[in-house]
Amino acid sequence: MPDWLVVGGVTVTPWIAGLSAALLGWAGASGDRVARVAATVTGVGFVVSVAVAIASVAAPHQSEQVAFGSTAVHLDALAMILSMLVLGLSALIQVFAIRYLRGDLRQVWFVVAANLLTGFTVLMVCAGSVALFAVAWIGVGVALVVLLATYRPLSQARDGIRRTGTRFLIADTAFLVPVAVLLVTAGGDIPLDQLGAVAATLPLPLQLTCAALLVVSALARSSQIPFQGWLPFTLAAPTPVSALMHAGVVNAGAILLIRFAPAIAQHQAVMIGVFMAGAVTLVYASAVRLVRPDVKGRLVFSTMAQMGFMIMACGLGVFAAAIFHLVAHSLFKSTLFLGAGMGVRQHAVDRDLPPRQIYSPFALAAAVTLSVLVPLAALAAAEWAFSPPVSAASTALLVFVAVTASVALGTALSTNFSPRTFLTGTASTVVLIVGYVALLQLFTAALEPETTINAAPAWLLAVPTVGLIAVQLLSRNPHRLAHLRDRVYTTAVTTTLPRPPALPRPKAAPRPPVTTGVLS
Amino acid sequence: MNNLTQMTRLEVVVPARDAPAIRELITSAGATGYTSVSGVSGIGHHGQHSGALLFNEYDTLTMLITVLPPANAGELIDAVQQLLSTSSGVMFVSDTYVSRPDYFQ
Amino acid sequence: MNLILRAQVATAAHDIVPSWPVESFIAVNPLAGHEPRPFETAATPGVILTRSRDSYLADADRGRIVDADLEAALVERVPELAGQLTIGGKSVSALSVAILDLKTTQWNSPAAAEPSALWLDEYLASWVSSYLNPDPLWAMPHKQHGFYRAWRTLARRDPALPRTARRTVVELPVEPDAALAWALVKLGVPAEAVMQTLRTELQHLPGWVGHIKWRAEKIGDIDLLSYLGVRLTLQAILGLTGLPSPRGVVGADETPSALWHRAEHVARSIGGSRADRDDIAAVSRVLATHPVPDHALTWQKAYELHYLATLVDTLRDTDPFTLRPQLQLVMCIDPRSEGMRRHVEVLPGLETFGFAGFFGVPVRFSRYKARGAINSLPALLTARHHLTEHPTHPATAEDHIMRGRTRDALRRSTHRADSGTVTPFAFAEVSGWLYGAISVLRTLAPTMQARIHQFLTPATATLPSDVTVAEAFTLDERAAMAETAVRMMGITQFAPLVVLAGHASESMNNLYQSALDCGACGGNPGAANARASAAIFNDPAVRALLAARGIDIPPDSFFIAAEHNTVTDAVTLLDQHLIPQSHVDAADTFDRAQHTAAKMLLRERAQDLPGASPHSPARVQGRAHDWAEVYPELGLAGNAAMIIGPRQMTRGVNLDRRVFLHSYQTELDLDGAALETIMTAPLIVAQWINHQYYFSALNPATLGAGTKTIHNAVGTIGVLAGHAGDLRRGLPWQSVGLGDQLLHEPMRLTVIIQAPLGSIGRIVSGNQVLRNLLDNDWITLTARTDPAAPWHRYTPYGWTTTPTALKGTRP
Repeated sequence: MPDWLVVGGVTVTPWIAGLSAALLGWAGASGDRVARVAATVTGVGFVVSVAVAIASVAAPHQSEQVAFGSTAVHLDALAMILSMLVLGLSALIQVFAIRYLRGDLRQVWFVVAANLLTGFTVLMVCAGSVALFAVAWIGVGVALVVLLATYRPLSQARDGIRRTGTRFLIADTAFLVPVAVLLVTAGGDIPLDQLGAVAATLPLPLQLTCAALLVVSALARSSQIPFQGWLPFTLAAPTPVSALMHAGVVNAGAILLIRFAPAIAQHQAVMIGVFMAGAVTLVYASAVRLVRPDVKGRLVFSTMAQMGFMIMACGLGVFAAAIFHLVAHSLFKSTLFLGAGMGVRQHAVDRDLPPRQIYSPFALAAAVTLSVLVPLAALAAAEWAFSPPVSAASTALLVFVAVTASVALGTALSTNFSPRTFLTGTASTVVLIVGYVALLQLFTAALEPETTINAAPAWLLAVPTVGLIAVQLLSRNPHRLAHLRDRVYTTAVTTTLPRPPALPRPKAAPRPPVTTGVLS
Repeated sequence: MNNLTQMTRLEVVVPARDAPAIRELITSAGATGYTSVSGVSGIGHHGQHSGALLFNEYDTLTMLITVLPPANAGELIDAVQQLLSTSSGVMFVSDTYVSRPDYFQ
Repeated sequence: MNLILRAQVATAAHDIVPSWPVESFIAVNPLAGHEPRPFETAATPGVILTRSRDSYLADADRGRIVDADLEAALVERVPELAGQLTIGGKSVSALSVAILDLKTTQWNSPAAAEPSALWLDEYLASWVSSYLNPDPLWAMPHKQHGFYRAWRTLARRDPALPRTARRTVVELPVEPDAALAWALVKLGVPAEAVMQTLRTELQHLPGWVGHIKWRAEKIGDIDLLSYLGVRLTLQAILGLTGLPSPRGVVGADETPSALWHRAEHVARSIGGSRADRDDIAAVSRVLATHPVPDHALTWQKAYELHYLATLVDTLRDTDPFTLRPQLQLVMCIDPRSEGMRRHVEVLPGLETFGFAGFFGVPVRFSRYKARGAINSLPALLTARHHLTEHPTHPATAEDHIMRGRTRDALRRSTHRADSGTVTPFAFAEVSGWLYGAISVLRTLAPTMQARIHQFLTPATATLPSDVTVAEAFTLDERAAMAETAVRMMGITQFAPLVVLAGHASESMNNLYQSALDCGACGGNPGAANARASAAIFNDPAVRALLAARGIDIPPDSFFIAAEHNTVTDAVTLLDQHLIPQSHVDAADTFDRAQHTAAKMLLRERAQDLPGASPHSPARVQGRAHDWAEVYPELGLAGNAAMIIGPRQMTRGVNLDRRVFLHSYQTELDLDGAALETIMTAPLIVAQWINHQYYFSALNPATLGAGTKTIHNAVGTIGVLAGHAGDLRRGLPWQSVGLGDQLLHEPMRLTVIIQAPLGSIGRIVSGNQVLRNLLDNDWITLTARTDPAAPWHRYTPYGWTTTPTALKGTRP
């Protein structure tokens, strides 16, 4: 099959969907029909991308590519994985929205904008050259703002657009500088696999500046500090918009870092900067998430923390792990967003469960022991079975998995210390851990980077870990450290509030005694 | 009078939905207790009020009775008066005598 | 303690309507504080009482409002409009002049503006929601000291406040009332303006304020005093000047020239150029009695009278059952029951009744060994009796409990892994794949997903059990409840099988699921009450006591509970293990009848349900499990009337699922006690629901909850629209409208009663709430003593036979 057909099959469907939606909407078709047509077309795109992926795994050969001079659309493993993810989730969310936005006057707007966003995102992940990537990157930003304008008549929505727009404008301007420098240096578009060579010809200060500016843009897109001030304000858009955004846009920061790795990854200072931005955001967002009372607010800050984790992984140079996290988190978060209305039903189900039992210290000790041993054994077995390449960073990430599995299993066993729970819990833990290791290895094999990486040292992981543990301890409201606790809590409560109106100058009049009653 | 102590007795009749506010005032005033009679009937300024309703405790009248030392009563009386200024309801204040004043301090 | 200030806060909060949490949604009249005053005075900024002029004119065009309705509405609202006048030589009635004026004169309904968010409102909403957060991952420090004190302690470290403000916070009084008093002094509020200031402040954030009022009475962890304490001290500290008090409705008098212009226009369109100054003056005298600001409510009245006339017209007097019926079905008064009753009555020998869906058994109910309970009773009552269940097979039950514990353990472990600080990252990586698969299944095959889910986690409801009604109530109480039910419904003879069907709604991913459940059960499913009632009626000891009171239930009559699922329209018999062998056939007959009825009803409902087709009823049923579905069912949309009387009045009549039907027979209630109970409880609940729909439909931005698609739940307390702001009140737009069209016809409840006018009048005059509602035109009442007697309308001055209203020309 000719490459252009394959590449077109993967990248063009959202554009067809968006265009036909716009045309149908313009011609006065009902929102329902428009949504159905578009969702079907995008769904076809997903099927094609899966077929292409299967074919390329079955018959490995040179990856498909369509080039116009140096500008190229390129289907490598990363592009395949992410295209499947983006098209699949977009189709799924569009199918969801057919019913969810029934009768909504802005349904057509949503469909067109969602496909515009999908189209640019697929183009971005499949871009094989710097200029094309830049165009797609900016297109994604614009499409996102258009999508956020679904409920433009609401003042909250307009506020969200303003905040997002300004931050993207700043960050994307910063992005265009290194792109322009690179393009001018090369005298034309640069295929991504030659990016390292071009970047190396620049003087070192310029190399560092370019790398830093690229990172800035990536951080803004993933709502990382200091660009965190847009994502929490985007909830005045219908739920499917949030699902799409949290599954397919905010993680673009990692994609940029990976695609431009040849120009970034060799500078350890920059990589440490990336790592620290992710780490700080991770701790900050985790703390805010704990105090948020609203379900979508929690999801927003959870996403921000997860993106911090992903960016951190990029800083550590474990790009495959970052992509793995990106894909899993997209599936995870879109599901949680779409199901954000489950709380009341969940509560009704919980009400009918039996009351919890209290166990003896002996049983609890046994539960803790089991919950430490089982995940460790499962991890050891999986490592032995698949024997993946070991690095300090990948081992550190495995520690996260082990701790999580222990907490989960320990909670289950201390809630109900019974053979049934033990068997179910152990079986799930083993299956999930082995599956995790196996999948991660698949990713690592497929996404082996070809560039030299001068990553942030793995011991830096201690910084966010200590921060997270400190937040966790403070959230138990200990008596000690009350000042720090109150300070952190209060900051987290008011972090998304605007500043109060300016305080007028204090009057010279003496302050009245504090206990005066009004009527006395 | 037979070693009895003088106290002030308040009787307040209000719609049941307003009773929680009165109860709150009574307890805030430092009264040690009160008696609450729900579903009272009668005729008043707003016409007739039938008594208890089988399936509606919300739209009936409640009578609250409390006894407290005269020194503490003044402020409570003013407060209840304030509360009754905009809603229907009546208050009766009278002197009463109790045998064990320590119960009401 | 500053008692006066506390009393002032309570007075200022008097008219605020408490709002229940969304987990047990109670429909309320959001303007209930205005009920002691005429309906038309209830408009406030941001709240409109009627639809737009264009929509009424459109109704007039399509015959939904005809001239006779306008005439009747004018007669009722402007009694002085009478007589004839001559314009340009033509003789016309004053009424027709006024009607012409109604149709030609322009008026604009005030736009329901989006409430503006002040910084102070946003700040307080943040703090209140963090404080009340029902399922906090990090509970607010110092929460145990109450809202004001917790805020006072924390605010000194609040980076959102300026440094000087933080310093002042340290010196604030410790108690909220002292702080409030301090703030009022600091703000320079004079003593006589305190009440007005407090009232004005309470008008901000009406959603949270209403919820705080509810919470202060039902839970007690926060009250309006501490809320106002924070609000006003903050204003004082920050030097925010008193906020502008929302403008009152300015009923500007019409200028003489505008009236003249109106009159001229009307006169010219009647008499053409022959209308002279005197004619115009005469017309203007007529029109002066019906100024333009009154037009909207006249249109609304005509709109309602049209419905009333049509409804009264369709009522009939079918023969009562003379032979003993073979099956009796008692359903909730909920309008949705009407459809089921109408279709199931196709079976000859089946008689149906309407009764409040809690079947007169007010309980707090918990499932077998459950950790929580529901207050399954009308919001007008307080729970005093606890009902639970005993499993019939203890061994199965124990196994079930074990499964429940395992399930709990796994849920808790995933919750903790997801909500810790260190664990969510690996948790998302490991479980994201599973979540993705679930997402696909839920979106593409919701029904299959539900089946898998039910197979993996059977609900306690499937466990055969008996309700512990004998432990919850004494024998006397049970007999009294049974007698009350029989007398209220007017059952004179009992069929061999009597089905008591409560109702519940099933939907996924729907924060407002409780609004679709039984209103008489406090926004909960009604199965428990139906089961309790059936158990009471089947108890031989109860029957013996009933016999002594003149109610004979034949020994072969068996009562069984059922649950009507209002999404799938299945009426499932409950406690089937109790059915005696002798009644198995009857139960099967009922089962077949309900199955057939459900098919018919689903087709009927599919015609109104957005996106549904009568050709695929299975898809309508599938909405129960569809997480993408924002219209699982239409609930009580369309509700407009309540009929209290025997089923003979309505049997065989298609009431379009718009009418609350309460069965009643005067013969069984000679002293009127049962009628009083109906008029003071089910009728009030119906009125709350009716006004909730009415105002949610007309004011989606202020009194309704707006579109579901941007809802953001705060635990099970309520929802925000977007990321912050006030708690939303009322029903979501998806309950009352589609796109920019209303699905619900907003009409004030029309009550129709068949009972002696004397009894009705006595009950109304003995009850202030009914007097308020009727005298102030919040609801209307039409009655007749018996089928042979003429209809009468209730007015504050007595009963009138207003035939015009009911005799209009019907399309």
